[in-house]
Amino acid sequence: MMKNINLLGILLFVLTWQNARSQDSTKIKNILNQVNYGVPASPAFELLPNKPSEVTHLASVHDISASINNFVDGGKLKSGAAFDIRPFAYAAGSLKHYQKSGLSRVLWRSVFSLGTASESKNSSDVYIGAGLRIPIIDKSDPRSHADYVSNLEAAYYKAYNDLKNPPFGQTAAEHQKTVDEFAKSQDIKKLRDDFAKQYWNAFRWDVGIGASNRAASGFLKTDSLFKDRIGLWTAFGLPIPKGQLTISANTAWIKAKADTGETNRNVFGARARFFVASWLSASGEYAKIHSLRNTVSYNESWDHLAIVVEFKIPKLGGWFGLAYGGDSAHRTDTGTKFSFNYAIYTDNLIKN
Amino acid sequence: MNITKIVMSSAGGALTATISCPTTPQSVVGVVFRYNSDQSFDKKMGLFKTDSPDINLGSPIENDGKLFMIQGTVINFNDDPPSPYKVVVDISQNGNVLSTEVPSDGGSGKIGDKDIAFAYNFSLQNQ
Repeated sequence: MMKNINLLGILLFVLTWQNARSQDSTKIKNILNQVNYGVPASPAFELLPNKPSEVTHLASVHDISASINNFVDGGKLKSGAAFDIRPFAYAAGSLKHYQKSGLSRVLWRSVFSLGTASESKNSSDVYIGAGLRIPIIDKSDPRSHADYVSNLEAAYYKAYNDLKNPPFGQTAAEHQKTVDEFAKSQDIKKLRDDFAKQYWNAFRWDVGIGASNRAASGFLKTDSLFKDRIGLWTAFGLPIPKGQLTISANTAWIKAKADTGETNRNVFGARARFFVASWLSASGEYAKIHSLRNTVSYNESWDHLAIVVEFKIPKLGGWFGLAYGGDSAHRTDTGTKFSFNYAIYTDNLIKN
Repeated sequence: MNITKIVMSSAGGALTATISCPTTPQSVVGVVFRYNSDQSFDKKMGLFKTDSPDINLGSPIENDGKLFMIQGTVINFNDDPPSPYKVVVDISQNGNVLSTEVPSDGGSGKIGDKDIAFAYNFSLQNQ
Protein backbone atom coordinates (compact mmCIF):
# COMPACT_ATOMS: atom_id res chain seq x y z
CA MET A 1 0.00 0.00 0.00
CA MET A 2 2.72 2.48 1.01
CA LYS A 3 4.58 1.73 -2.21
CA ASN A 4 1.49 2.77 -4.21
CA ILE A 5 1.14 5.92 -2.16
CA ASN A 6 4.75 6.80 -2.83
CA LEU A 7 4.36 6.26 -6.55
CA LEU A 8 1.14 8.29 -6.60
CA GLY A 9 2.84 11.13 -4.77
CA ILE A 10 5.84 11.17 -7.07
CA LEU A 11 3.57 11.02 -10.11
CA LEU A 12 1.55 14.02 -8.93
CA PHE A 13 4.75 15.83 -8.12
CA VAL A 14 5.97 15.39 -11.69
CA LEU A 15 2.59 16.15 -13.30
CA THR A 16 2.21 19.43 -11.47
CA TRP A 17 5.81 20.52 -11.82
CA GLN A 18 5.21 22.53 -14.97
CA ASN A 19 2.20 24.55 -13.83
CA ALA A 20 2.65 24.77 -10.09
CA ARG A 21 3.56 28.18 -8.70
CA SER A 22 5.14 27.48 -5.38
CA GLN A 23 7.10 24.95 -3.41
CA ASP A 24 6.29 26.71 -0.18
CA SER A 25 3.44 25.47 2.02
CA THR A 26 2.62 29.09 3.00
CA LYS A 27 0.59 29.53 -0.18
CA ILE A 28 -1.51 26.45 0.56
CA LYS A 29 -1.91 27.51 4.20
CA ASN A 30 -3.09 30.95 3.07
CA ILE A 31 -5.59 29.47 0.64
CA LEU A 32 -6.96 27.22 3.38
CA ASN A 33 -7.09 29.89 6.08
CA GLN A 34 -8.26 32.87 4.05
CA VAL A 35 -11.92 32.36 4.91
CA ASN A 36 -13.04 31.26 8.37
CA TYR A 37 -15.99 28.90 8.01
CA GLY A 38 -16.81 28.60 11.68
CA VAL A 39 -17.94 31.01 14.34
CA PRO A 40 -14.81 32.47 15.95
CA ALA A 41 -13.98 31.03 19.37
CA SER A 42 -14.00 34.62 20.65
CA PRO A 43 -16.05 36.94 18.42
CA ALA A 44 -14.80 39.96 20.37
CA PHE A 45 -11.22 39.37 19.31
CA GLU A 46 -12.18 38.84 15.68
CA LEU A 47 -13.27 42.48 15.43
CA LEU A 48 -10.07 43.93 16.89
CA PRO A 49 -7.24 45.12 14.64
CA ASN A 50 -4.90 42.61 16.34
CA LYS A 51 -5.79 39.49 18.28
CA PRO A 52 -4.62 39.44 21.92
CA SER A 53 -1.70 37.09 22.45
CA GLU A 54 -2.85 35.97 25.87
CA VAL A 55 -6.40 35.40 27.10
CA THR A 56 -7.27 35.05 30.78
CA HIS A 57 -9.93 32.40 31.35
CA LEU A 58 -12.17 33.47 34.20
CA ALA A 59 -14.15 30.95 36.23
CA SER A 60 -16.88 33.17 37.70
CA VAL A 61 -18.33 36.64 37.35
CA HIS A 62 -16.67 37.52 40.67
CA ASP A 63 -13.31 37.22 38.90
CA ILE A 64 -14.26 39.99 36.47
CA SER A 65 -13.72 42.77 39.00
CA ALA A 66 -10.17 41.53 39.62
CA SER A 67 -9.53 41.32 35.88
CA ILE A 68 -10.75 44.86 35.16
CA ASN A 69 -7.44 46.20 36.51
CA ASN A 70 -5.76 44.66 33.46
CA PHE A 71 -7.95 46.77 31.19
CA VAL A 72 -7.81 50.23 32.74
CA ASP A 73 -4.91 52.32 33.94
CA GLY A 74 -5.56 55.85 35.17
CA GLY A 75 -8.87 56.13 33.32
CA LYS A 76 -7.32 54.94 30.06
CA LEU A 77 -7.79 51.62 28.32
CA LYS A 78 -4.71 49.41 28.16
CA SER A 79 -4.00 47.57 24.95
CA GLY A 80 -3.53 43.78 24.79
CA ALA A 81 -5.83 42.77 27.64
CA ALA A 82 -8.31 39.95 27.12
CA PHE A 83 -10.50 37.56 29.04
CA ASP A 84 -13.25 35.10 28.39
CA ILE A 85 -15.83 33.56 30.68
CA ARG A 86 -18.86 31.31 30.62
CA PRO A 87 -21.24 33.93 32.02
CA PHE A 88 -24.21 31.65 32.59
CA ALA A 89 -22.27 28.60 33.80
CA TYR A 90 -23.79 28.54 37.26
CA ALA A 91 -27.29 28.62 35.77
CA ALA A 92 -26.66 25.31 34.00
CA GLY A 93 -27.30 23.12 37.05
CA SER A 94 -26.13 19.58 37.66
CA LEU A 95 -24.91 17.13 35.03
CA LYS A 96 -28.20 15.21 35.18
CA HIS A 97 -30.16 18.42 34.56
CA TYR A 98 -27.76 19.39 31.77
CA GLN A 99 -28.37 16.13 29.94
CA LYS A 100 -32.13 16.72 30.01
CA SER A 101 -32.35 20.45 29.34
CA GLY A 102 -31.48 22.08 26.02
CA LEU A 103 -31.53 25.52 27.66
CA SER A 104 -29.04 24.35 30.29
CA ARG A 105 -26.67 23.18 27.55
CA VAL A 106 -26.90 26.50 25.67
CA LEU A 107 -26.29 28.48 28.86
CA TRP A 108 -23.28 26.37 29.79
CA ARG A 109 -21.60 26.47 26.38
CA SER A 110 -22.01 30.23 25.82
CA VAL A 111 -18.77 32.16 26.14
CA PHE A 112 -18.44 35.92 26.60
CA SER A 113 -15.15 37.57 25.62
CA LEU A 114 -13.73 41.04 26.09
CA GLY A 115 -10.46 42.35 24.69
CA THR A 116 -8.47 45.43 23.75
CA ALA A 117 -5.92 46.08 21.02
CA SER A 118 -4.13 48.92 19.27
CA GLU A 119 -3.98 49.24 15.52
CA SER A 120 -0.18 49.59 15.65
CA LYS A 121 2.57 50.25 18.15
CA ASN A 122 2.59 53.94 17.21
CA SER A 123 -1.17 54.41 17.59
CA SER A 124 -2.50 55.73 20.89
CA ASP A 125 -6.09 54.76 20.05
CA VAL A 126 -7.28 51.57 21.71
CA TYR A 127 -10.00 49.32 20.34
CA ILE A 128 -12.24 47.43 22.74
CA GLY A 129 -14.30 44.48 21.59
CA ALA A 130 -16.97 42.42 23.32
CA GLY A 131 -18.63 39.29 22.00
CA LEU A 132 -20.74 36.27 22.79
CA ARG A 133 -20.41 32.84 21.22
CA ILE A 134 -23.45 30.60 21.55
CA PRO A 135 -23.16 26.96 20.50
CA ILE A 136 -26.89 26.25 20.18
CA ILE A 137 -26.64 22.62 19.14
CA ASP A 138 -23.55 20.48 19.61
CA LYS A 139 -23.97 16.75 19.14
CA SER A 140 -20.23 16.32 19.73
CA ASP A 141 -20.56 17.59 23.30
CA PRO A 142 -19.41 14.65 25.46
CA ARG A 143 -21.40 15.79 28.53
CA SER A 144 -24.68 15.47 26.66
CA HIS A 145 -24.02 11.77 25.92
CA ALA A 146 -25.22 10.07 29.12
CA ASP A 147 -23.91 6.64 28.04
CA TYR A 148 -20.44 7.99 27.38
CA VAL A 149 -20.32 9.85 30.72
CA SER A 150 -21.57 6.76 32.50
CA ASN A 151 -18.91 4.54 30.88
CA LEU A 152 -16.18 7.07 31.63
CA GLU A 153 -17.25 7.32 35.25
CA ALA A 154 -17.36 3.53 35.49
CA ALA A 155 -13.74 3.36 34.30
CA TYR A 156 -12.64 5.88 36.97
CA TYR A 157 -14.80 4.06 39.53
CA LYS A 158 -12.93 0.84 38.76
CA ALA A 159 -9.60 2.65 39.10
CA TYR A 160 -10.64 3.98 42.53
CA ASN A 161 -11.82 0.53 43.52
CA ASP A 162 -8.31 -0.80 42.85
CA LEU A 163 -6.65 2.08 44.71
CA LYS A 164 -4.55 1.03 47.68
CA ASN A 165 -5.02 2.78 51.01
CA PRO A 166 -3.26 6.14 50.96
CA PRO A 167 -1.95 7.79 54.15
CA PHE A 168 -4.37 10.08 55.92
CA GLY A 169 -4.09 13.75 54.95
CA GLN A 170 -2.83 13.26 51.44
CA THR A 171 -3.30 16.56 49.63
CA ALA A 172 -5.04 17.12 46.29
CA ALA A 173 -1.64 17.84 44.73
CA GLU A 174 -0.37 14.47 45.94
CA HIS A 175 -3.53 12.71 44.79
CA GLN A 176 -3.21 14.43 41.39
CA LYS A 177 -0.34 12.06 40.52
CA THR A 178 -2.69 9.09 40.97
CA VAL A 179 -5.41 10.84 38.95
CA ASP A 180 -2.92 11.48 36.14
CA GLU A 181 -2.12 7.78 36.11
CA PHE A 182 -5.85 6.95 35.88
CA ALA A 183 -6.13 9.19 32.82
CA LYS A 184 -3.33 7.25 31.11
CA SER A 185 -5.06 3.88 31.60
CA GLN A 186 -5.98 2.00 28.45
CA ASP A 187 -9.70 1.81 29.40
CA ILE A 188 -10.05 5.55 29.81
CA LYS A 189 -7.92 6.45 26.80
CA LYS A 190 -9.89 4.06 24.61
CA LEU A 191 -13.22 5.52 25.72
CA ARG A 192 -12.03 9.05 24.96
CA ASP A 193 -10.46 8.09 21.61
CA ASP A 194 -13.54 6.14 20.50
CA PHE A 195 -15.83 9.04 21.38
CA ALA A 196 -13.66 11.55 19.51
CA LYS A 197 -13.53 9.23 16.50
CA GLN A 198 -17.31 8.74 16.46
CA TYR A 199 -18.47 12.30 17.11
CA TRP A 200 -15.79 14.68 15.79
CA ASN A 201 -17.98 15.61 12.81
CA ALA A 202 -21.37 15.45 14.57
CA PHE A 203 -24.00 18.08 13.84
CA ARG A 204 -23.51 21.47 15.44
CA TRP A 205 -24.92 24.95 15.07
CA ASP A 206 -23.06 27.95 16.44
CA VAL A 207 -23.99 31.63 16.54
CA GLY A 208 -21.73 34.55 17.42
CA ILE A 209 -22.22 38.26 17.95
CA GLY A 210 -19.66 40.94 18.67
CA ALA A 211 -19.12 44.69 18.68
CA SER A 212 -16.11 46.94 18.96
CA ASN A 213 -15.48 50.59 19.76
CA ARG A 214 -12.45 52.81 19.29
CA ALA A 215 -11.32 54.79 22.32
CA ALA A 216 -9.46 57.87 21.08
CA SER A 217 -6.09 57.98 22.88
CA GLY A 218 -7.45 55.19 25.07
CA PHE A 219 -9.81 57.50 27.00
CA LEU A 220 -12.93 55.82 28.33
CA LYS A 221 -15.13 58.90 28.06
CA THR A 222 -18.33 59.26 26.09
CA ASP A 223 -16.85 61.87 23.75
CA SER A 224 -13.78 59.69 23.11
CA LEU A 225 -15.57 56.45 22.29
CA PHE A 226 -16.48 55.82 18.66
CA LYS A 227 -18.37 52.90 17.18
CA ASP A 228 -16.11 50.73 15.06
CA ARG A 229 -17.84 47.53 13.94
CA ILE A 230 -20.51 44.95 14.70
CA GLY A 231 -20.24 41.34 13.61
CA LEU A 232 -22.70 38.46 13.32
CA TRP A 233 -21.75 34.85 12.56
CA THR A 234 -23.58 31.60 12.14
CA ALA A 235 -22.23 28.19 11.11
CA PHE A 236 -23.56 24.66 10.73
CA GLY A 237 -21.34 21.60 10.91
CA LEU A 238 -22.78 18.49 9.26
CA PRO A 239 -21.44 14.95 9.13
CA ILE A 240 -20.67 13.51 5.70
CA PRO A 241 -19.01 10.16 4.92
CA LYS A 242 -15.42 10.31 6.17
CA GLY A 243 -15.69 14.06 6.58
CA GLN A 244 -17.47 17.19 7.64
CA LEU A 245 -19.38 19.85 5.75
CA THR A 246 -19.45 23.34 7.22
CA ILE A 247 -21.86 25.99 5.95
CA SER A 248 -21.35 29.48 7.31
CA ALA A 249 -22.42 33.08 6.91
CA ASN A 250 -21.17 36.23 8.55
CA THR A 251 -21.72 39.92 8.22
CA ALA A 252 -19.86 42.89 9.65
CA TRP A 253 -21.04 46.50 9.78
CA ILE A 254 -18.07 48.81 9.78
CA LYS A 255 -17.79 52.51 10.63
CA ALA A 256 -16.04 53.72 7.50
CA LYS A 257 -13.07 56.05 7.99
CA ALA A 258 -13.43 57.56 4.51
CA ASP A 259 -16.14 58.04 1.89
CA THR A 260 -14.71 55.12 -0.06
CA GLY A 261 -14.19 53.01 3.04
CA GLU A 262 -15.88 49.67 3.60
CA THR A 263 -19.18 49.85 5.52
CA ASN A 264 -20.35 46.26 5.30
CA ARG A 265 -18.80 42.90 4.47
CA ASN A 266 -20.86 39.76 3.92
CA VAL A 267 -19.34 36.33 3.53
CA PHE A 268 -21.27 33.18 2.68
CA GLY A 269 -19.55 29.88 2.07
CA ALA A 270 -19.17 26.17 2.58
CA ARG A 271 -16.29 23.82 3.15
CA ALA A 272 -16.06 20.04 2.98
CA ARG A 273 -13.15 18.16 4.47
CA PHE A 274 -12.51 14.49 3.88
CA PHE A 275 -10.18 12.19 5.75
CA VAL A 276 -10.19 9.26 3.38
CA ALA A 277 -7.29 7.42 4.97
CA SER A 278 -4.49 8.17 7.40
CA TRP A 279 -2.39 9.10 4.37
CA LEU A 280 -4.97 10.96 2.30
CA SER A 281 -7.02 14.09 3.08
CA ALA A 282 -8.89 16.52 0.90
CA SER A 283 -10.61 19.83 1.35
CA GLY A 284 -12.90 21.78 -0.95
CA GLU A 285 -14.35 25.18 -0.20
CA TYR A 286 -16.17 28.02 -1.86
CA ALA A 287 -17.13 31.42 -0.52
CA LYS A 288 -18.73 34.55 -1.94
CA ILE A 289 -17.56 37.84 -0.46
CA HIS A 290 -19.46 41.12 -0.83
CA SER A 291 -17.82 44.36 0.21
CA LEU A 292 -20.08 47.42 0.36
CA ARG A 293 -18.82 51.00 0.50
CA ASN A 294 -20.27 54.44 1.19
CA THR A 295 -19.83 55.21 -2.48
CA VAL A 296 -21.85 52.58 -4.31
CA SER A 297 -19.58 52.51 -7.34
CA TYR A 298 -16.78 51.20 -5.08
CA ASN A 299 -18.78 48.14 -4.04
CA GLU A 300 -17.15 44.86 -5.03
CA SER A 301 -17.65 41.15 -4.72
CA TRP A 302 -15.48 38.18 -5.45
CA ASP A 303 -15.27 34.41 -5.22
CA HIS A 304 -12.94 32.39 -3.09
CA LEU A 305 -12.18 28.82 -4.06
CA ALA A 306 -9.82 26.23 -2.63
CA ILE A 307 -9.37 22.59 -3.49
CA VAL A 308 -6.53 20.91 -1.65
CA VAL A 309 -5.44 17.29 -1.62
CA GLU A 310 -2.60 16.08 0.54
CA PHE A 311 -0.81 12.74 0.69
CA LYS A 312 1.47 11.41 3.35
CA ILE A 313 4.69 10.30 1.70
CA PRO A 314 7.25 9.14 4.25
CA LYS A 315 10.06 9.02 1.66
CA LEU A 316 9.56 12.74 1.02
CA GLY A 317 9.71 13.45 4.76
CA GLY A 318 6.05 14.29 5.37
CA TRP A 319 3.15 15.41 3.24
CA PHE A 320 2.78 16.37 -0.38
CA GLY A 321 0.04 18.94 -0.91
CA LEU A 322 -1.54 19.98 -4.16
CA ALA A 323 -3.85 22.99 -4.23
CA TYR A 324 -5.92 24.91 -6.69
CA GLY A 325 -7.61 28.11 -5.70
CA GLY A 326 -7.39 31.66 -4.49
CA ASP A 327 -9.59 34.70 -5.03
CA SER A 328 -11.13 35.89 -8.28
CA ALA A 329 -10.03 39.30 -9.50
CA HIS A 330 -11.84 42.28 -8.01
CA ARG A 331 -11.51 46.07 -7.88
CA THR A 332 -9.02 46.25 -5.02
CA ASP A 333 -7.00 43.28 -6.28
CA THR A 334 -7.18 43.10 -10.03
CA GLY A 335 -4.15 40.87 -10.35
CA THR A 336 -5.36 37.96 -8.25
CA LYS A 337 -6.53 34.74 -9.85
CA PHE A 338 -6.96 31.05 -9.17
CA SER A 339 -3.71 29.13 -9.39
CA PHE A 340 -2.10 25.75 -8.81
CA ASN A 341 0.32 25.32 -5.95
CA TYR A 342 2.18 22.38 -4.50
CA ALA A 343 4.44 21.89 -1.53
CA ILE A 344 6.09 19.29 0.63
CA TYR A 345 5.78 19.84 4.35
CA THR A 346 6.21 18.06 7.67
CA ASP A 347 2.78 18.42 9.29
CA ASN A 348 -0.56 17.96 7.55
CA LEU A 349 -2.46 21.17 6.78
CA ILE A 350 -5.96 19.68 6.58
CA LYS A 351 -7.07 18.94 10.11
CA ASN A 352 -10.38 17.88 11.64
CA MET B 1 -3.72 19.86 56.91
CA ASN B 2 -7.37 20.94 57.29
CA ILE B 3 -9.67 18.60 59.17
CA THR B 4 -13.29 19.67 59.47
CA LYS B 5 -14.65 18.64 62.85
CA ILE B 6 -18.27 17.48 62.62
CA VAL B 7 -20.31 16.87 65.72
CA MET B 8 -23.03 14.21 65.53
CA SER B 9 -25.73 12.98 67.84
CA SER B 10 -25.01 9.63 69.42
CA ALA B 11 -28.70 8.78 69.07
CA GLY B 12 -29.23 10.48 65.71
CA GLY B 13 -29.09 7.50 63.38
CA ALA B 14 -26.90 6.54 60.46
CA LEU B 15 -24.44 8.94 58.81
CA THR B 16 -24.09 9.61 55.12
CA ALA B 17 -21.51 11.49 53.03
CA THR B 18 -22.78 12.93 49.75
CA ILE B 19 -20.27 14.20 47.19
CA SER B 20 -21.67 16.00 44.16
CA CYS B 21 -21.50 18.99 41.81
CA PRO B 22 -25.04 20.38 42.18
CA THR B 23 -24.49 23.75 40.48
CA THR B 24 -22.25 22.86 37.53
CA PRO B 25 -22.59 19.98 35.03
CA GLN B 26 -19.38 18.27 36.06
CA SER B 27 -18.66 14.63 36.62
CA VAL B 28 -17.04 13.54 39.91
CA VAL B 29 -15.83 10.12 40.95
CA GLY B 30 -13.95 9.15 44.08
CA VAL B 31 -13.59 7.25 47.30
CA VAL B 32 -14.06 7.73 51.06
CA PHE B 33 -11.53 6.21 53.49
CA ARG B 34 -11.85 5.93 57.27
CA TYR B 35 -8.91 6.15 59.69
CA ASN B 36 -8.50 5.66 63.42
CA SER B 37 -7.81 8.66 65.63
CA ASP B 38 -4.05 7.89 65.43
CA GLN B 39 -4.38 8.22 61.59
CA SER B 40 -3.84 4.49 61.01
CA PHE B 41 -5.97 3.07 58.19
CA ASP B 42 -9.30 1.56 59.20
CA LYS B 43 -11.61 0.93 56.26
CA LYS B 44 -12.54 1.86 52.69
CA MET B 45 -16.08 3.14 53.20
CA GLY B 46 -17.16 3.23 49.57
CA LEU B 47 -17.00 4.85 46.18
CA PHE B 48 -19.11 7.61 44.68
CA LYS B 49 -19.98 8.85 41.20
CA THR B 50 -22.56 11.17 39.67
CA ASP B 51 -25.53 8.79 39.78
CA SER B 52 -24.57 7.31 43.17
CA PRO B 53 -23.17 10.20 45.24
CA ASP B 54 -24.07 8.82 48.69
CA ILE B 55 -21.72 6.82 50.91
CA ASN B 56 -23.13 5.15 54.00
CA LEU B 57 -20.73 5.84 56.89
CA GLY B 58 -22.55 3.73 59.48
CA SER B 59 -23.70 4.42 63.01
CA PRO B 60 -22.49 7.16 65.39
CA ILE B 61 -21.09 4.56 67.78
CA GLU B 62 -18.67 3.06 65.27
CA ASN B 63 -17.62 6.51 63.93
CA ASP B 64 -16.98 8.39 67.17
CA GLY B 65 -13.47 9.86 67.01
CA LYS B 66 -12.80 8.53 63.53
CA LEU B 67 -11.07 10.46 60.75
CA PHE B 68 -12.23 10.43 57.13
CA MET B 69 -10.49 11.31 53.90
CA ILE B 70 -12.35 11.87 50.63
CA GLN B 71 -10.31 11.68 47.45
CA GLY B 72 -11.90 12.39 44.13
CA THR B 73 -11.52 13.39 40.52
CA VAL B 74 -13.36 15.99 38.51
CA ILE B 75 -13.37 14.38 35.06
CA ASN B 76 -12.37 16.61 32.17
CA PHE B 77 -14.40 16.93 28.96
CA ASN B 78 -11.79 18.93 27.04
CA ASP B 79 -13.47 22.24 27.81
CA ASP B 80 -12.12 25.18 25.85
CA PRO B 81 -12.21 27.68 27.42
CA PRO B 82 -11.95 25.94 30.78
CA SER B 83 -15.18 25.62 32.71
CA PRO B 84 -15.89 26.25 36.39
CA TYR B 85 -16.54 23.44 38.84
CA LYS B 86 -17.58 23.29 42.47
CA VAL B 87 -17.64 20.06 44.46
CA VAL B 88 -19.93 20.01 47.50
CA VAL B 89 -19.54 17.57 50.40
CA ASP B 90 -22.60 17.08 52.60
CA ILE B 91 -22.42 15.07 55.81
CA SER B 92 -25.85 14.15 57.08
CA GLN B 93 -27.30 12.09 59.88
CA ASN B 94 -30.61 10.39 59.34
CA GLY B 95 -31.41 12.88 56.57
CA ASN B 96 -30.43 16.00 58.56
CA VAL B 97 -27.45 17.85 57.12
CA LEU B 98 -24.70 18.32 59.71
CA SER B 99 -22.17 19.96 57.44
CA THR B 100 -22.00 21.32 53.89
CA GLU B 101 -18.63 22.36 52.55
CA VAL B 102 -16.74 22.96 49.31
CA PRO B 103 -13.34 21.27 49.84
CA SER B 104 -10.71 23.99 50.08
CA ASP B 105 -8.12 21.63 48.58
CA GLY B 106 -9.06 21.42 44.90
CA GLY B 107 -12.82 21.47 45.43
CA SER B 108 -13.46 24.47 43.18
CA GLY B 109 -11.81 26.17 40.24
CA LYS B 110 -11.50 25.69 36.49
CA ILE B 111 -11.15 22.53 34.44
CA GLY B 112 -9.98 22.27 30.84
CA ASP B 113 -8.39 19.20 29.27
CA LYS B 114 -6.89 17.67 32.41
CA ASP B 115 -8.64 15.83 35.24
CA ILE B 116 -8.51 17.63 38.59
CA ALA B 117 -7.96 15.95 41.95
CA PHE B 118 -9.59 17.13 45.15
CA ALA B 119 -9.26 16.08 48.77
CA TYR B 120 -11.32 16.64 51.91
CA ASN B 121 -10.66 15.51 55.49
CA PHE B 122 -13.13 15.44 58.34
CA SER B 123 -13.62 13.89 61.74
CA LEU B 124 -16.81 12.74 63.47
CA GLN B 125 -17.38 13.15 67.15
CA ASN B 126 -20.34 12.50 69.38
CA GLN B 127 -21.90 15.45 71.17
